Amino acid sequence: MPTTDRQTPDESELIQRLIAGDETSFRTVVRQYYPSMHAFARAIIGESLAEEVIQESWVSVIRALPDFEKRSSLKTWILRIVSNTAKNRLRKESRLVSFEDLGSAADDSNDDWFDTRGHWQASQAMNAWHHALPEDIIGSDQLRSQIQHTLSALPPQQQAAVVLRDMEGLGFEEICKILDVSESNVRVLLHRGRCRLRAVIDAYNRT
Amino acid sequence: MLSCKDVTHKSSDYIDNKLPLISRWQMRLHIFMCVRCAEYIRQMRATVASIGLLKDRNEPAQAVIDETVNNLLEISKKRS
Repeated sequence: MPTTDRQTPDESELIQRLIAGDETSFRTVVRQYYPSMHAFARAIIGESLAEEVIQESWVSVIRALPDFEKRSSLKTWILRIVSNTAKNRLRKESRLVSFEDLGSAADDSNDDWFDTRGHWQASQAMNAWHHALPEDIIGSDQLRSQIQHTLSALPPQQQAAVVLRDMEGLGFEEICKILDVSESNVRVLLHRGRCRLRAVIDAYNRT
Repeated sequence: MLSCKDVTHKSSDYIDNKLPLISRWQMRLHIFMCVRCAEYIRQMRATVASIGLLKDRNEPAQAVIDETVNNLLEISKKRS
């Protein structure tokens, strides 16, 4: 379920302890947020640079923490910093255009599936999947590997939106803040990414 | 009346509960009557749920935690 973007009282205390340099609190946040930061950084910049981006982001987080205005949850704020750090890194690598380009690569238009009235073509079968349950889909090593490969090959913005929404379970408001794009853009990105991933699962089920 | 093409294009918004009420009812009506669109929506839901299962729920390696925490402590000390 998507999370809410509010600070809990515990989180306010945690932030104060982080500002005070409390080691136990550092360990808590690193344990808690590292997997999300890694998945998200990998989506934007790729596996090889994800670790560097995370370490750079932590430095920014600790330096900026006293100025954190608490208008979002700590997690959303941290992921926003990861997003900016990764984008800056992309800029240095001259690859930013690939992050900003919503229309690149996959799109969701499958116009050839439909007739002129927008109804399914007779030739377009829509058979039930034999791997239909999520546990069965991910339980198949070959299919899981194909999904992971396709996810990692999505354009960075699509991948980031899919990771934040479908893996991390964040709400649209949080995703917009993190990626700095409008909700309608997030919806387009998500749909395109999901269509690509559905197509992979569908192809596997047809073999 | 929505076409099948409309239903596939709006499928993510439907799953995410992002459609206005009237569009949502139009989608429900169409899915109720159209076997292929019903299957398409089922597949999109299964796709989304499958992606959720890919989430890495493992904690980072202890060495990564230690190194990161040590760096943070150092920065924190310099700042204060």
